[in-house]
Amino acid sequence: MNHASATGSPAARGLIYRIVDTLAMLSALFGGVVLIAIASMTCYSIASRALGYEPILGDFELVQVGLAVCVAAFLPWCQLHRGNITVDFFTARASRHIRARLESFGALLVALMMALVAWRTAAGALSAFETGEETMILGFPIWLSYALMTPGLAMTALVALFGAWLSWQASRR
Amino acid sequence: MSSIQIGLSLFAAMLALMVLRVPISVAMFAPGAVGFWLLAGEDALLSHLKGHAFARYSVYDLSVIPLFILMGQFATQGGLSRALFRAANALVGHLRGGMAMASVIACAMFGSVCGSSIATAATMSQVAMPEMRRFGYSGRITTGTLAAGGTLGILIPPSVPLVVYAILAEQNIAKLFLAALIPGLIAATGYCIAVAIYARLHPQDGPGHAKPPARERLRAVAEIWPIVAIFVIVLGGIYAGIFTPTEGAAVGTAATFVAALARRELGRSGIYQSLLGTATTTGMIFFIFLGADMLNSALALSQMPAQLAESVGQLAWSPLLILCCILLFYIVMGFFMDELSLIILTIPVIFPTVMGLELWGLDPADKAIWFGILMLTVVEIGLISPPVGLNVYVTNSLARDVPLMETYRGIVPFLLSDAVRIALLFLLPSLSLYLVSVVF
Repeated sequence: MNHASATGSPAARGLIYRIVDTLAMLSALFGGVVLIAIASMTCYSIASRALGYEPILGDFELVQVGLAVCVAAFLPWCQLHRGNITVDFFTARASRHIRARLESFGALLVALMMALVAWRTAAGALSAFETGEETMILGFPIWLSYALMTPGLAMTALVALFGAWLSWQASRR
Repeated sequence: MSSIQIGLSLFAAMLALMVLRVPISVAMFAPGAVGFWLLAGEDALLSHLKGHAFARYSVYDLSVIPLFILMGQFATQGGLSRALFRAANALVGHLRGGMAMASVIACAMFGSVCGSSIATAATMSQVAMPEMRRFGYSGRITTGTLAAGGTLGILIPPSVPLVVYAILAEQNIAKLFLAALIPGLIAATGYCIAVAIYARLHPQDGPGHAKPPARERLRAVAEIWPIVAIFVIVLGGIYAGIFTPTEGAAVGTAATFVAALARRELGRSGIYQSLLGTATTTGMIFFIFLGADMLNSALALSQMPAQLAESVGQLAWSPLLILCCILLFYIVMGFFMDELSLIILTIPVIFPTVMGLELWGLDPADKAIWFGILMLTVVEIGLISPPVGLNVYVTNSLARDVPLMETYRGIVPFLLSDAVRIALLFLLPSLSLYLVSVVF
């Protein structure tokens, strides 16, 4: 298991890398802000309850929606910085060339998986929009939660595709 | 093909992909998706995937995970770890091997605001390692202690793996946190005893030093009151039923943030780093969820978990022997996989089997809690044992001059202590269940 790796050396970090890195970072920071909002809202709700005021109505539902959005926004950064864990025990002795090839293949599979998940989540947004589903207490539209997740998921697919290309480049060097 | 054969071929495909360095999440997702497709057809797969990500990510209880991770990040970036080590060192540092014991104690306390093993090992290493080396502690005992001490991060609540177990096994998080408390303290005590014995046998590895004046010691201990207060408020609130675990985590995160700000060590870049670190670790866990859910949906379609539980139930073996085999399986798998992937992947399959066993006459709720604690204890063995041992790698990489083999040698006393503890927890379920029965 490893978080760092042989590929993705600074030499490979051209302009495109910096753009991808910045976008992933902005997405992660957005996710962080959502997480802080979840924490603050929850604290506020507890404080109101403790002081005898009405707690926030449906804070439960906001946490759920917020979590989904926050996690989806975290994924591109995680993928770019190799937080997507691999078992490297079996290939630790393989040549750098082979490892880079395998990493490229792995990242390509991640891209496929995330593209599939992003596409289906977008489809989920459409069908939830058509049926007009809402959350129980707040009446928050479900399609919006799906729709807010989709950019993070789609960006993760693109980041993984970019990573596959980087590793492929590294394998030829 | 029978259900068990289908299930096993999905597992085989997953392992093959993992060996080929494919990220664990996809190594689970791909066979899962293909299996689902073959069993239920394309339309069913596509419609299942529509809600796949949202259904898993919008779970109220899961919000505990990023919140506790963020809390640990604030504690790390805010320098709370240094205060903890200083306090523990003031208490026991003068004893023979005392600084190593201080590291263990500081790790245990840091574990009370941090739910991750690697984070605890890495954070405490940065603080304790330079000090220990300066006082003449050998590389072996220094790195070994910190790698093992890191595992206290997940044993002492809050614990991210325990939250994951609770959600997958549909158990009460608060009860599991409470159940982990005594085993966590036993672990810390066991590690201190291991250090004491080791330092007695090899005095040159862990020399004692002069006792600092009482005033200084008192001041160092007094400095950690915010961490103690946070621990008491968060876990006390959760145990007492004032908070849900999510609320406790939110309060803890806010309080840790304030405590870190008050120490004037958490600047703007520290906050950025905390958020980005939270993104990496949270992403890592939720990637695994995405993959494991797909595989588990396919396994559920194949009815393998139910079949497995039934077949195991028909075995003429003693249930305790079967449980031993399951725990052994976790230890072996833990050599190659990280603890979270292992838990997320196996609990849906193994849990029904365990619940079908008759163990010490425990009722189902107690059995689920006890098994969770046992499993947590055995998977962390993998974190500190060869061939992979993530904690060992992390601490060793922070000590450039210490060869990896030295760290593995330094781990041995702690592994022995772990073996004793596992035996204790296995033979005496009340060690895990006593507090739960008192409070709830």
